[in-house]
Amino acid sequence: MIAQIKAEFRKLSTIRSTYIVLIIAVVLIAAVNFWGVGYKFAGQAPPSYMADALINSLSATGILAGIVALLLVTHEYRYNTIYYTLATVRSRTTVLLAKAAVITVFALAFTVLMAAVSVLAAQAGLFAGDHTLPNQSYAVWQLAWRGFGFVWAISMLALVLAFIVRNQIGSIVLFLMIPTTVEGIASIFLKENVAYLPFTALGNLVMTQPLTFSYTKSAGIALVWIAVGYIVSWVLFTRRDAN
Amino acid sequence: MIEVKNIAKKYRKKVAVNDLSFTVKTGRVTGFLGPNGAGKSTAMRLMLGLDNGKGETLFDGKPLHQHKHPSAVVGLLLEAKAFHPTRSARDHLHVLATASGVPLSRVDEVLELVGLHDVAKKGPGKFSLGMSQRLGIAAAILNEPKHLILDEPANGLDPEGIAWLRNFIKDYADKGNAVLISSHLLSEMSQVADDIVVIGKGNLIADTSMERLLAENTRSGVFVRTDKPDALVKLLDKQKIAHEPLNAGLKVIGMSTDEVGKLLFSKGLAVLELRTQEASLEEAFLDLTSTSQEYKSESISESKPESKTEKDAS
Repeated sequence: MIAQIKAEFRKLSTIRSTYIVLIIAVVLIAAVNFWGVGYKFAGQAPPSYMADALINSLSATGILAGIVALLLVTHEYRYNTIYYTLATVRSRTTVLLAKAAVITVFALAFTVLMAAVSVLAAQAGLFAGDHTLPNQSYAVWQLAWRGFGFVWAISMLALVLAFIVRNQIGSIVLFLMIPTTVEGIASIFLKENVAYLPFTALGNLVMTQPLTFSYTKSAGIALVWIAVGYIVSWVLFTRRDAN
Repeated sequence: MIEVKNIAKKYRKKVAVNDLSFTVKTGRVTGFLGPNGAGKSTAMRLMLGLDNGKGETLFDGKPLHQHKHPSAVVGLLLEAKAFHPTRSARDHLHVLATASGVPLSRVDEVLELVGLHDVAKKGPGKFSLGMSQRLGIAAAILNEPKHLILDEPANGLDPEGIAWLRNFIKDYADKGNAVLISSHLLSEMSQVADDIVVIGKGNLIADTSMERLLAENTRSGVFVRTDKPDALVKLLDKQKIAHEPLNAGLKVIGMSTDEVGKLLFSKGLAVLELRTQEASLEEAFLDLTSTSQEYKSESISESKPESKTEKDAS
């Protein structure tokens, strides 16, 4: 299992797309926070101004972490390296768990990096615009669990989707369409109950104020979806042909 | 030893592999032959547990995934281009080495061995087919496995590469390993394989040694050249001995060189040339699979192109 986790780390760290996604995320967060949050600061702000900016940053870039997770799986099918992966391990479950472990660590690193970039860029913007921010309060633990929880959960959902769909383009399209189009249309019929759908529940986690449900309930709903998705992925992954 | 026991695979109604059983013996190279679509690649994936189907394959008495380190039991090459195009050749092997618990120093050893050391830092996306095959072979032998399963490893290799591969495979088997290799390069296969397994439409057609396959093939015979070929034809026809024209002489089927020599001597015909005419692997293969070809091309002489007027009329 340890060997497989190490191998998955190598896979993640030796492809260009991981770095491209990271650069896009950093540039995006830095630009938005420098300009929108810092430089263009209106002069009045609540004590949660910076904390809200940070959580908004994670909300905007979490999907990019999901793309990295998705590529970790779908590259294997696209380039047939799945043959080597499956022939090397004693149990296919190991592969599933190793990928989840690696994406969990990646999500944590991604969250920390994005949070740091967000705060630093905003501070730089404030400095450049010669603004002074009123005293800020950071609910550190709540910010941490909601921020990391969102990035981790969205990455896990991407991983589940990739294991089920396997096709790279197909899973990316679905990953982008489900939160926007599919759950958007579903909200017409489900009304408030749309909050039970996975991406809407996750979206609630990164709202500055919780909407339909509390943050914890939304996180619980997302966890149930991830657990069910993982069971489905595991059943399919262990029973389907390699490619 | 690799024991394949009753493996079978169906894709909806199409039978890809049908109750296939054979053995890949230790210390020998087994050629795996079959026309396009015969089910060779599917059978190999079934053997490795990559596809789900019926039957089982035992590697030294155990299914592959019951061994502690599967990659030390069997090395595989199923697709020439099974790598990420922008991950360097060295990183590709590093990933595999890490997963298998192989020291990373072994990566440079195998890169050197297959002749890819100079391009180790390059992404293999732009590798030629031959270079890709070399990388695939490097991956297969990374953990010095007991056995090898190679699907078309010679495809795209240059003559030097083919010669290297031939020697490498023979040496590998000589060290007490079992090697299963599929190829469409039959002349190459005839030089490297000790045993042959032939399948067609998913069914086993032959499982024998190369020697026996060639000897038992209907196209084996005796080549004879005489000063009076017409007289020889008449003689053979009269005695109802099968024969067919071959170059400047005849191929006599179903008789030994001794028997043909004595027959000619008894009729006073001068023997200019007399030798055993062994069937080539290609002939044997075509004979064996003549009814199992999934995709058969029409020979040029058999094809009857529509005349211009017929085309115009239609």
